[in-house]
Amino acid sequence: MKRIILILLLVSTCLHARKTVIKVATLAPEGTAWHDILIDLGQKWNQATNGEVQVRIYPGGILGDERDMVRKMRIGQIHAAALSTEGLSELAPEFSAFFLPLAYQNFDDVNNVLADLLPGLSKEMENDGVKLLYVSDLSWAYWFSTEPIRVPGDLKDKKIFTWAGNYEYEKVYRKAGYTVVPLAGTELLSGLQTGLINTFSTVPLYALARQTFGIATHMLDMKWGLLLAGVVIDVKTWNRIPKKYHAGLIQILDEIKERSVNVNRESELQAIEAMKQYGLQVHTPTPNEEQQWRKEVQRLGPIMRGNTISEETFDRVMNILQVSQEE
Amino acid sequence: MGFKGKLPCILIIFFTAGCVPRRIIVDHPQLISTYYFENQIASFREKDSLTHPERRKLLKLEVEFAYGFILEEADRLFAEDYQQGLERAGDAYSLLKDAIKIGTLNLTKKYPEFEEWLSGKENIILFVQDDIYELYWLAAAYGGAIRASRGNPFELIQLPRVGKLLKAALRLDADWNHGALYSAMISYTATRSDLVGDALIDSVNKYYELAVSSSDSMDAGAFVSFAENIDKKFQHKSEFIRKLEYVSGMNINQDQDLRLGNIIAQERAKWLLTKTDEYFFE
Repeated sequence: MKRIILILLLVSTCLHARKTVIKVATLAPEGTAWHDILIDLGQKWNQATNGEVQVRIYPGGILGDERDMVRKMRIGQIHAAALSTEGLSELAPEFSAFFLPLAYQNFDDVNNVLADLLPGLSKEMENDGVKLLYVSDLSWAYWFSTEPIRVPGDLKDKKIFTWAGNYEYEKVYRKAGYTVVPLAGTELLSGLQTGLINTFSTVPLYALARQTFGIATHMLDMKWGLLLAGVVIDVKTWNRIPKKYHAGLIQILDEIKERSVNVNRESELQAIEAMKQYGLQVHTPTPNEEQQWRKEVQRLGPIMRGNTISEETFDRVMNILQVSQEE
Repeated sequence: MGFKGKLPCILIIFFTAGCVPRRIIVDHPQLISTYYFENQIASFREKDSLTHPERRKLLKLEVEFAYGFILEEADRLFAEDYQQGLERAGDAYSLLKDAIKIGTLNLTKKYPEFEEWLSGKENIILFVQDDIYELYWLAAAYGGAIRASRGNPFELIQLPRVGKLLKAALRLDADWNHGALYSAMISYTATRSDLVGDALIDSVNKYYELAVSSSDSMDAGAFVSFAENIDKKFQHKSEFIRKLEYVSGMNINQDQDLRLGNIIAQERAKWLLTKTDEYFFE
């Protein structure tokens, strides 16, 4: 009898030990498309591993901003995170390449740069203890303002929002002669209401969710920047999942990625259309105006090179994009 | 007519009288869904045209059904089967969109400039006490549609309408229906994008205290709403448990006006308590 109890105890302990709980943090609020993607992912991983993997999601920035998430992952408090370019560049500074203004004009440009950078980046991150599971475009960023902005000169007398804590960008914009006001993202609307800021660049869905379109009623229809979305997991946790499941889990991620890319792109268009119905005026730059922006970006390039992005990565990305845009 | 044939009539009589046994609502929501809500809604929809009072009734029925039954079911499903949850949320969304049309129609018939007012124009409408009903249920329909749409930008953008409708109703009679407006303001305020940290907690807390005092602590929804929107978000675990345990032990028969809402809130509180370990990071 004693032997049976001992065996039962051992079996139950083994079964218990085999369960891997993955704590994932994200800024995406509950009930949004990006949060839904994580729910779907968690359930599919759970099924694919016969219940051995359980994904627990902490949404809406409950665990802090993306820098906090990366820090918490490094000290083992959480095991994974769904991040934007901001958090990804905390893990690998080369991701700053996706912050370059006006550099990417279509998804081919993005995919060409990702295809070139990712193998090295993934390896580098893995050596640093983090596995990059997923990365894709999330949305383009555009200029939103209280008065129309058509050419770079229109930015000169504006008070431009920058993310508090993003000192390099603050420095770059100041050096380029712009007036920037660093604020937390949550202060965007109150900043506009009080006149502390009157211009900002962001993705349309964020502008909509923050209800800024009632005050910042103008948008420049020019792809100023790009936001990426990525999912990372710490290597130790990934390795705790039996190897036999790894390929299946990656396949699930790839399937979800395909769907989410479409959802993200559609959401961006819907957000612009919805804001237009509420009075947002969208200005499409003329070829001449576009030319002026390109010139301005050429002026910004040397200020960014070696500051917000390493010289080597900057040159590499510019070369890829030159080839991509000539094709 | 056997028992089975009489069941719909019995349920409708019990339900409208507010005394349908709690166990039927909790254990057999399908019976209530089919025999009360679906049949009632269908009977209104079969009519060529509806009177103002009929539209009122339909508005409330659709919002109660979508919010209290379908979305509750969808939330449970999301935790187990995302695709099924999505489908159920889609069902609620259709009903809530219809409720928005009905509520808007009733108020537009009375105030032709209502839609302009709602979309943010500067015009002033002098609502009267009797309008609180439509203002409240229309606000609930908008809020429910946003939740059921799972982040659809065309719905998300309507969020300020919820606040505008509720504030208009609050100006008329803040204590209406045992503080139901304050309770609704808890959820709305928690989603305001211009509030953050302590300012958010203080603003939501103001409505929470008013809702509790106005209902004499008998509106379970106020406790559940605060626990979900603030205690969970700010990781106040003991407060979360305390409020939900209070609701779980509440005597829901004490106030007949709040009974249905309280049954639903009580079941939600019990379900949320089972999720405590998932929600709180330690």
